[in-house]
Amino acid sequence: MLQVDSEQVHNFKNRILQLSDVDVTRCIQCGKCSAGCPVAPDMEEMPNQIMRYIQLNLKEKALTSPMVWVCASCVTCSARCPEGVNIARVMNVLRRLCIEEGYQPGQEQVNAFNSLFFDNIKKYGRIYELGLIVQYNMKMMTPFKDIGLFPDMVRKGKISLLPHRIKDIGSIRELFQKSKRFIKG
Amino acid sequence: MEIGYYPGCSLEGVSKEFDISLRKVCSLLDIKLVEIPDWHCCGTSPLHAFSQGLSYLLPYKNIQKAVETGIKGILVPCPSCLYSLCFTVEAYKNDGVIKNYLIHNTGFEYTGDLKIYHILDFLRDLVTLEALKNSIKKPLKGLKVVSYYGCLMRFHGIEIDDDEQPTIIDKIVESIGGEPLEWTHKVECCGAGLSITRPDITQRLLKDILDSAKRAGADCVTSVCPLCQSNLDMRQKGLSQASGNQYNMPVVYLTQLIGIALGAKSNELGMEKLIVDFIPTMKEKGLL
Amino acid sequence: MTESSHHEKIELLTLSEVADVKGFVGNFDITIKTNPRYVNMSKCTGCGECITKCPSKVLSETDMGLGMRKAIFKPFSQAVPNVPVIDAEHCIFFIKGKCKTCEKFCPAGAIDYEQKETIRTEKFGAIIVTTGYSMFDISKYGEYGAGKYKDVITGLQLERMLDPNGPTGGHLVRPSDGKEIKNIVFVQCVGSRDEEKGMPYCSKICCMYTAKQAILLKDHFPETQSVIFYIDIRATGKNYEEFILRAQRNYGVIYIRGRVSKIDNLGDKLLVYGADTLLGEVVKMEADLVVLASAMIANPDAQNLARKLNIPYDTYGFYTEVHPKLQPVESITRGIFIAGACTFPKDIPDSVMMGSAAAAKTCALFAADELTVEPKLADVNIQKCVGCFNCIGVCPFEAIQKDVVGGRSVAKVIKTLCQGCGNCASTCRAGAIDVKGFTDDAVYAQISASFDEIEEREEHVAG
Repeated sequence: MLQVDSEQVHNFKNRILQLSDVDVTRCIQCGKCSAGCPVAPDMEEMPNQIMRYIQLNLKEKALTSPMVWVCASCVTCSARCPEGVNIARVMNVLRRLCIEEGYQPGQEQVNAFNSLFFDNIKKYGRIYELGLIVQYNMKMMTPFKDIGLFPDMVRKGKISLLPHRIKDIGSIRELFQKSKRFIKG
Repeated sequence: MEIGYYPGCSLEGVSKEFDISLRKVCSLLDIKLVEIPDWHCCGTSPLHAFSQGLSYLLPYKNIQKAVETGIKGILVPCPSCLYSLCFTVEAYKNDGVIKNYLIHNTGFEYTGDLKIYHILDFLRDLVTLEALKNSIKKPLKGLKVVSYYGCLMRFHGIEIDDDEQPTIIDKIVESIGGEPLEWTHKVECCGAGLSITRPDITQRLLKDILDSAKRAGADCVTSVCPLCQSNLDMRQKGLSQASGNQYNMPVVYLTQLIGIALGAKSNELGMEKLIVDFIPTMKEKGLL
Repeated sequence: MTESSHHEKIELLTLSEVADVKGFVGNFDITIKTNPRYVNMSKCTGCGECITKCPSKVLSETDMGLGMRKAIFKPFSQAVPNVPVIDAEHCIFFIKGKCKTCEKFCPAGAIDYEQKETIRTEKFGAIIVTTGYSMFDISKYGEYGAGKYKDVITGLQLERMLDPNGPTGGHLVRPSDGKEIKNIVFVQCVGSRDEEKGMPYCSKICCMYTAKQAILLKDHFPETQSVIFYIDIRATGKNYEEFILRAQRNYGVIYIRGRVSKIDNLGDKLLVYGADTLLGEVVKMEADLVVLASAMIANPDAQNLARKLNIPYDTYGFYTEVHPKLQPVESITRGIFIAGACTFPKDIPDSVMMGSAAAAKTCALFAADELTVEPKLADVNIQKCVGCFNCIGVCPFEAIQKDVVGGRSVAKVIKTLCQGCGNCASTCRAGAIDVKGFTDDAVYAQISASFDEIEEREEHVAG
């Protein structure tokens, strides 16, 4: 059973508003976001339910939902929302908040991929695709998952075997050092 | 004509043929591409999910690099990079907190006069479809093409066309003599971002898109996104194995089609790098 | 309609529009422009031979583009008067100078290509505006293929299809290929409750007419199945909730709570992508026909008429009543009443109520020998008036006229028109105009007293 605390009920929604400039109060729960979401058919929860969690201050449910992590950021939801709620942007904020506040990401492999992506840019300044995929599959203990793709990619010269490091990697690393998870709030 | 060029990481790797064909098309149209010196990754969606600061800082630094070359416009073929750049510029212009943050951390104050183009509005507004039509040497007669935009149209930095029923690619295909077909999956997400982490979802989305292209009777799908193209092209083999149905739909970059029409040879356009072979279709249509 | 056209005290002016309105309550001078019909009303017997023989076909407005009409036509079979009209824009004779088929076949010799528009001015005591509504243009919904897929239609189009005199003769067939229809999906709130693409307001009538159509469909075509995607069911009239329940319980209409996101055209079928927010599941279903409940919007010409009548309208273009609760059929201009969907989306009972109320209000107005007016009126002190007439320009009710008193030009307020807004009083540089009971001195005294009160309160708090 859900406990709704009337005194706290606006807290999380206001925090989201502060961090994303998106007012989830505007959501009328029509479900259009969910109806058009490309990943929703494979998920237990739907985007409109994530908005509902926020409306009712169910912070932990929102932050640990796998839906938040599987969201493909295709922005179909935001583009079609009749009330102009930028749902995709809220999803990004929820992912950042989840990590910031030490919650367990609802879909660990997405977070793992994102952090490898992060390291990759920090190291080379550009994405080293081969390295990224190999590292990810090693980390996930599925070393042979994408192996079927490699023969074609190598034969067709579609993949660089060595990373390309930009010249001024120093300035990029400096940005990484200065950056914050949230600029506002 | 001279324009700045920000290829983005994909065009250096998996999507080399996009880069090759774009450069070839530009040289045939007498356009000089000035690559932004020492450009770096724009950060794209994984970073948006990770850090707000970096999701603005990395694109902003690229804009700095572009502005410092003295160029007035840049061409960004990858919609994901385009989104990161436009999204940053928009926030910089509209949000004082973000503007201050970016200036403070880079020491660079952007004056807002860099025009950012995707190849679609670049072709329509700068090259013009009329000029493109007049440069055609080998019209793609009888080639039935479905245009695939992916989620490109949803990104608000880009006001190229209608969000839901875009037609700009169809018009380009038409102006190079091809036959654009109506179909249902112009703007559906292909799930490229999940191809590593949730391949099951990606496979379902791919199947829907490819089935729709087949249903429309297309000879090929044309794409303007490196992530969509590589996702749709590379994973058909796996999809065929998983579904038991044969998937063999060529997925070609729009720049490759334009290149053929402008009279370039297939190896000048990186045709051989496509996983689903397009050469037999070209032969069949008398384009080789 | 027929009854009113025969009533001795009602003159029905068709093909006519209000060109200009002057005067005030009890004394309106209305300029009426009557467009040419090109058919002599007194000769025409309404036999319809001209319509049958006319070679020019045009998309029918009444049938919402689902069917065709001729260039000489009657908008619908029961139209009053029972006399056709020539649409000069599409008539071959008017375009090319020859044809005259209708004239040739008319047994009554009623065709008259020489008719010209006529303009006349008449006096009226009151005006009731009932200009109705318009439909939201669904083609803004690219995701539904609206305006592009022939089998995605509006509720009004379905209404025409169900009419035995309609474009399909009352048969339920797909507009695209004429094939029979089994599965129908209704989508509610298209263009309404949508701040991005449409109107923020609830269109009010769609829940009920959709339920009616779903019941009708099951009644006439028992093999059909209707599914309705809705956000909230708004059934707040007498017996309305019961009606919805009847649709669900007795007619097997399936209601799914969730908005549709996209419709794919598969050629012989439509594929609808929706959601069931009660289950938390995505719903995908095939349909032969999709019916969009497009929003009722203000008539696009309403603002134009409002300017002629000098009555206000809201941001959507609906006419504004004096008071939404207590004076719902009166416009701010005395003697002009408003009724029906020109004020906001309304169903039939509400429109009938408003129409009746406006008629009764008009009768009450005419029944009295004298008009009573609000005492709050502008009053010109002719001793002070310098005759600059700046007041005339700022009066929204055209209540001020020039007058000559003792050889001097001065302003004169027409008491029946003045609404006491005070624009003239604040504009008058000579200080010659006051609103009775609101003289400058009185207003200053009020302001000063309120400041004293605030000061007292502050002192009290500080103390």
